Amino acid sequence: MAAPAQPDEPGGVRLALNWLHTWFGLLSCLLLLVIFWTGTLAVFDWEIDRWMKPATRFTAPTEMSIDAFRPVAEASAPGAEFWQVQFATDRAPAEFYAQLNDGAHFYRTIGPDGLTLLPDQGTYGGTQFFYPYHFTLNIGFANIGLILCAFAGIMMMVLCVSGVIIHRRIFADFFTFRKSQKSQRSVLDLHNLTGVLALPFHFVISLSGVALFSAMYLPTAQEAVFASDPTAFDQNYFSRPAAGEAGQNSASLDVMAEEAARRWDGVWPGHLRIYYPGDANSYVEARWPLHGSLAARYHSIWFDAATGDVIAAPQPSAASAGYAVLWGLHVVQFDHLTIRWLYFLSGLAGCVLIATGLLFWSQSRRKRHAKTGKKGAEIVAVIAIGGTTGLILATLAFLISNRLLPLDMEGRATLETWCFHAVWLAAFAHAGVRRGAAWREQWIAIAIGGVVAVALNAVTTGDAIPVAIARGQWGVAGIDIMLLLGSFLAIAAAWRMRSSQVRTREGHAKKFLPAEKS
Amino acid sequence: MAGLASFIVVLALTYVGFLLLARSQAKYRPPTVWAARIPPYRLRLFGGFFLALALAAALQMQGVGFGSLLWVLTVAAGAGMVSLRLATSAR
Repeated sequence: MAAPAQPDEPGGVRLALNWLHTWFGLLSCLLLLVIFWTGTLAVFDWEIDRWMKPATRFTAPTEMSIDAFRPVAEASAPGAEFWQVQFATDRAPAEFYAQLNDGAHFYRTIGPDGLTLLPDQGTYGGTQFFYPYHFTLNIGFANIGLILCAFAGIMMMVLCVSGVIIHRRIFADFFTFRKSQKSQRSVLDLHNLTGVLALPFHFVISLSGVALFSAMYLPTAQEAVFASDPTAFDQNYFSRPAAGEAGQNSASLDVMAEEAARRWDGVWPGHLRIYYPGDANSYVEARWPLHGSLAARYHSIWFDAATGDVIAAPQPSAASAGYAVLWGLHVVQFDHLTIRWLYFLSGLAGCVLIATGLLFWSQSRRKRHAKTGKKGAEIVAVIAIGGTTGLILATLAFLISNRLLPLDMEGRATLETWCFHAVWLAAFAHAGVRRGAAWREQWIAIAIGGVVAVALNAVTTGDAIPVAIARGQWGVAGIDIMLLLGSFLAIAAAWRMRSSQVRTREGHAKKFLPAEKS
Repeated sequence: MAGLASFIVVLALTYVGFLLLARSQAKYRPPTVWAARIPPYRLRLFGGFFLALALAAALQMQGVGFGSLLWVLTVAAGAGMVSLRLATSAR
């Protein structure tokens, strides 16, 4: 690794930042790829849930009586620390969630009648696998996943800023893609193009991601404000302890929801959460819905569970309103399908940006490293394959295993995640063994996997694409269509690579990584 | 559906805007007599005007919050389409 140029040398700042961009990018590439890919999928997390949980494919009524549902909730999660009902939206049915006293979680979908709980669907789906993967990597131990993702957020900001500064021709890069030139040039053009085109998205998503992790970067501020009651921060700025003695929680929950809606000019709460049900100190939180506006306001009204009186209804400060906008821009919970699709496409552009950065690094050093016996370029090429096609294959394995494993199987949800990680690991191993040829082979596997997933969905649930559309299940049909489109693109990529490899063997310009080890 | 209609309008305007901006670059100018007569600054001016028009349309149709976000994301899509057109026409 050459030392970075000094800033006082001619062009030194750009050269120094170029060094920073290259090596910071390399250091965090795989982590960023995983975060971008799972974040992109999480844009449609509820739709993925519906695909993976066929029993939830019904049109849920948006209104339900919590008072009528209360006996079901209390019987399902006796002695829970809290339970909540998340009201149905256009994207998702109503959900029941409880945190039990032993720290365990209890999730169930509420049936179309609003009075029953569907049986466990045996999967984590999009909301409990891809969504938390995006910011925790699903590693709960010692918060390692959170810390790694917080680190990646800072890295992405550094890469965005350094990337802008090192590009002299940022305006020209808007339009420059020379696909007829040699492969290395095309890869760099694609890296610049996706970086520049989606720069506002990348910048906003990185900045808001860093803002969301602010409590992790600067924990002292939170500790100072909530010194007397550290749990209050997690409980949305209000909490009171359980009394430890039984109480009458007789006030109507429906009336509380109506009162919250009245105070919010008709906006119905997103969910109602009952803390310490049955306790004398029990209280109810009605939270502002996330799907109605761009800003994701974590804005609540608290009621006394015994009397139904309002305990607290704080007005959000200007600072928290600004934070809510950043939060909303990142978590994309609003109901705006077009913008949701644009987020999805921009997220894919982010994946292409990172993957092409890796490829360029690997391609530009391949010959030099081969001559000097260094392994860096080969290792990075393996990471590029495993981090792109390998990750897509792992996602397909997750979906396919969901359709193949029996619903009543013990530990089914965990087994699905094992399938994801096993296939991902196998993709890395395959890339290590097959090198350049692995690209084409994995694209072919993706093409086959996409078609198999769609076919399995049709066979096991009866919801082939036309049937799903006829039933109004656009989310399910949309995922199937995207899987087929992905298969088509994967076949096109594999075909293109085959042509390129044939030309390479004939002595023409190389367009992709060659199949032979150089 | 309203979101989709807004997107199409904004995309069309940003596409025209970026095409004009791209044409202001010497290497993307079509080799025609009329194109040579138009000074680049005028193309940039019109390009900027179309981008501003797209922003106005987005704000008008979607409100400030969603409108500005739609514009930012659609600008990328419009510029991407122009890049694709230039890349394919350059072959």
